[in-house]
Amino acid sequence: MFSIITESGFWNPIIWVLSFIVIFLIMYILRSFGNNKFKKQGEKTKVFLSGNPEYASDDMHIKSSNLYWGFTKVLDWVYTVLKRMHNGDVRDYILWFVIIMGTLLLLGVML
Amino acid sequence: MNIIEYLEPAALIILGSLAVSIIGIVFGLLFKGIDRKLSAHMQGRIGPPIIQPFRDVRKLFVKENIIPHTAIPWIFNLAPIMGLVATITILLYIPLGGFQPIASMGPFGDLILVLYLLIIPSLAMVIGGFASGSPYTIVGAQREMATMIAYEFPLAIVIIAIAYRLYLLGDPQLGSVFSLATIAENPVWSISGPFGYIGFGILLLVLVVVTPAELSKIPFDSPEAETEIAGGLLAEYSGRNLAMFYLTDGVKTFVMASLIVALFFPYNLSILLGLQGIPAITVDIIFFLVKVFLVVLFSVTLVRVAVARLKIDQIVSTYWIYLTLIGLIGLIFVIWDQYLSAMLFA
Amino acid sequence: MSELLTALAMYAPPLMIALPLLSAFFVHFVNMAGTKIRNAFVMLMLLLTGFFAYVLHWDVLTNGTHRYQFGGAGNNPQMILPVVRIFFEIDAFSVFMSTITISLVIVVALYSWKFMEKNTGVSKYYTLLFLITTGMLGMQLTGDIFNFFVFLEITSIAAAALVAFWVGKAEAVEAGFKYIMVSAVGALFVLFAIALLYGQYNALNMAVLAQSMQFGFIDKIALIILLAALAMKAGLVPMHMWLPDSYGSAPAPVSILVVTATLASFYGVIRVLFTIYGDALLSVKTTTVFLLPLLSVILSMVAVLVVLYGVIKKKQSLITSGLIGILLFSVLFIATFILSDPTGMSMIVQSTGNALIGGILIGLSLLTILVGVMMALIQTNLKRLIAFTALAEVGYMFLAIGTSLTAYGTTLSHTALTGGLFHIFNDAIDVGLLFLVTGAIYFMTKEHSLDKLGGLAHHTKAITILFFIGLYAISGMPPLNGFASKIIIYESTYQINPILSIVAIVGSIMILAVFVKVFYAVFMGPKLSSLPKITKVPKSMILAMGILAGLIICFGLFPQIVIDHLVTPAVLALTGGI
Repeated sequence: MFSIITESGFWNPIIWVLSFIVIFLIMYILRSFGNNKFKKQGEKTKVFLSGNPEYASDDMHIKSSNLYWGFTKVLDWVYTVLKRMHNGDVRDYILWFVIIMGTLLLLGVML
Repeated sequence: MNIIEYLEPAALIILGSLAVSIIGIVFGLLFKGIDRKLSAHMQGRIGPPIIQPFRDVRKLFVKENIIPHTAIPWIFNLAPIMGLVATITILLYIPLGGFQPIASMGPFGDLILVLYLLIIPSLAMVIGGFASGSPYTIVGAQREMATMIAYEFPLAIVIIAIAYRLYLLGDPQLGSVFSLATIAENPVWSISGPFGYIGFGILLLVLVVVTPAELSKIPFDSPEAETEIAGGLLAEYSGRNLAMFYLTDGVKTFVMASLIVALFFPYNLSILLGLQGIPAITVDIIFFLVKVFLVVLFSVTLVRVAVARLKIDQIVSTYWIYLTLIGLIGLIFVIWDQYLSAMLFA
Repeated sequence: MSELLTALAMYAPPLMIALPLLSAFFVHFVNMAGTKIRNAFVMLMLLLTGFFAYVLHWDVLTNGTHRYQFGGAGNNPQMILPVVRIFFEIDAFSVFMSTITISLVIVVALYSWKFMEKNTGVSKYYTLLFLITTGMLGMQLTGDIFNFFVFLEITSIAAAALVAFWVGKAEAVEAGFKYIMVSAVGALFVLFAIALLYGQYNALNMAVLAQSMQFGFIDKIALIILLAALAMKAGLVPMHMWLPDSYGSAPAPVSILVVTATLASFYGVIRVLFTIYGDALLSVKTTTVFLLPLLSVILSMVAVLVVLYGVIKKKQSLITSGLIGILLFSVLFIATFILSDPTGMSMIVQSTGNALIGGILIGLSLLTILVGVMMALIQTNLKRLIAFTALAEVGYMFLAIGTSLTAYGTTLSHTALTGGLFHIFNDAIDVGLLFLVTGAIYFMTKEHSLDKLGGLAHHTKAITILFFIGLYAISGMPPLNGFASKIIIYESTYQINPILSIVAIVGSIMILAVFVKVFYAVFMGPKLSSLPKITKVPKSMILAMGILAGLIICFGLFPQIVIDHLVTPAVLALTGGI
């Protein structure tokens, strides 16, 4: 029933979705035993900042270019090369095409 | 198209889902309790009783469920439960001792699916963290995502290497090589030669190192780093939403340990002891739980009491460069196993 | 009913070209009657073209390959192949692609209705939209290689003009210029290769070429040139740099049209490789006596040592070169065993032409996936970011095609090709949805920079959910359609070399990371005071996005039905049922 079967594996979305729904219902019922209210007075709804004052919303927003810092730092050397490749010069674009085609032509002799 | 023939699998799936929900939560919390107790003893403390995690969950259910004013409420509330549900569904695809929920019923899901489903709880945590809208949670969430892309590389190597070794056997009777049932029937140690032992030994080591990061445990817990970013992506969660994440953590530990057992130690005692029927199932389940316990002990408890937390860029370089290399060397050994072992030892 | 459809299908091919081509001309005159009437006219004409495309699809699937002859007396499907007349030769793969194309164009037109409303010269936009549709459909339906070149040029010129549609922006004009430069060079090389083939066989018909293919020196040169030029137009790394530029500066609906144009070039690659050269590549065997396996083992060990030395000395360049070395040599190692006899004991390697071409495609496709995701991770412009991920997705298709070609004639080839072709459809709708959502974000905030956006989920739930569906699908997470095609690709490519699947999996998870970042940057966080005016997204745009999201969910939940009814016939049309 609706399974993808490759030679090496299989995947049936319907079964997964069905079990997901069943388990979701169970967990939803379990969750509804919990307390869902809170008193809105005081500073409860303010975000936790270790006691530092909360800034205006624009200043609290972390800019997306700061994300994944660790990853980009470790692969800095890759990015240096990649950025140098993407220099926006259309002559280089054509050059890359010529290089690839030339290499392929050399390999093509081996065909 | 007969409706009856669809009803039976449907009923089985509903029952199976119910069963794995209970198994996952109970054993997840139990292993969490054991882990806490053991790590306390290792650090010279007495530690909480083993049932402490159950009490924690009950406590969290009573607590207030606070939604910060910067949050996007519907995503903030939806993320924890989605993560928990997705984690529990993985148990349906992993053989649990002699008990195989729907893995035995038909071709429904394989190792690649498990690999992808393991991402969903982390993704739910990341999105929940982002949806909280606090600087601490956002920093934690993006670290979690960076950790995730880092450890998936070695994890993918391990998983593909096992399937590839089975594929290299070239046995048409084998069935699907990505199927966990096939892997459980043909343990990696019994299909490989000397090179294979070295290769799979290396890959097992890699998988054991990947586990703490998959579970956000020390030394790879910089997304949650209590001392620096106050619990990171969970900083704004409280009450029943936090309970959902707490349960997710427990279930995921159980899932990850079961996966390692299924991939590397799928042996059962019942055949060895010549048991049949109910005693066989009991022995298998107990033996399975012992194996899971040992995996948790070595890959979670021991590691987390022994070492300190790494910085996020150290995590990324550990996984993307060092572990990936080690994994690739393991993979090369596994590939050699088929060809060179045959040549050298035939 | 079915007679009527068959009769309609008989004249569908010329009408699918003629309708958009004539509408391109007439849209100006209709424009004089008012914008509403013009929009209705555009929709009507595209729906009509779409209707014919679907009828033709149905006809090809039920009655087999459809042949339409232009010129000459009468329309005789039994006619032996002549040399001079232009034929449209429409097999299951052609209609598969034309269905994708026309469906996306219809969605784009629906979306453009409100999106382009405030722009000047919208009737010219629709002219170009009709022209690019003509070009793409022509490329996909034609059975004549010179005709293919003509339609390729129509597509390129229309696409370049569309990319530069916002002439007020310097970036857009620059991107249009780059696009036309790159396309012109590529297309001229295609023409050169066609001339070589014409000189050899005195024929331009693809079927005739395939039958008479000798696979001599000139033919090989022609193959390489066609491959390189069309791969550049499909965006294979490192000939991809024009692609983010042009996707990034065009209006969102245009980006999707350029994506479909890219897929049409990709169609060209597959046509050339499988239809024209397929049998020739398979039949020619060159036997190379090598100690290749042993050599590659030694070399990969050396590479490992280089990496370890680099790690100790903390020299990144050594690590890089060592890693690349390990990758290459292990590919070589496995390749030797794939190519040699099944026992894997022989040191004599028989290499076939398809394995070499397949290997090249696989190598470049891995590079495409990695470069695409790595570059996407650091982009700050939303549209450039999606362009780089679209590039990575093209890498997955090339990976599947390369695998299929390497193992040509086996069941592995069939499986990999199924995954690849299914991924074309999935990629088109996933990337399409994401570009449309990007357009909606731009419509709301007039902003493309990720650093300036934020907190949109507070304003709109519908767009957030639609974006999340796109994110989830394109990163290949279960249970949506991206996973359905990617799992087929993973579970076939690993048989060539485990590294291929590993890189593919890592690539897809990095796509997830990329889009989670976008999800955060655009929708999460507090309400920003720097974005005071949020325009409401009109219903027609939501509907256009909803159609694609619905398709994504349907394809995700019932992949096997799509594969059986749409993809497998296309695969069989290409491999000839091997």
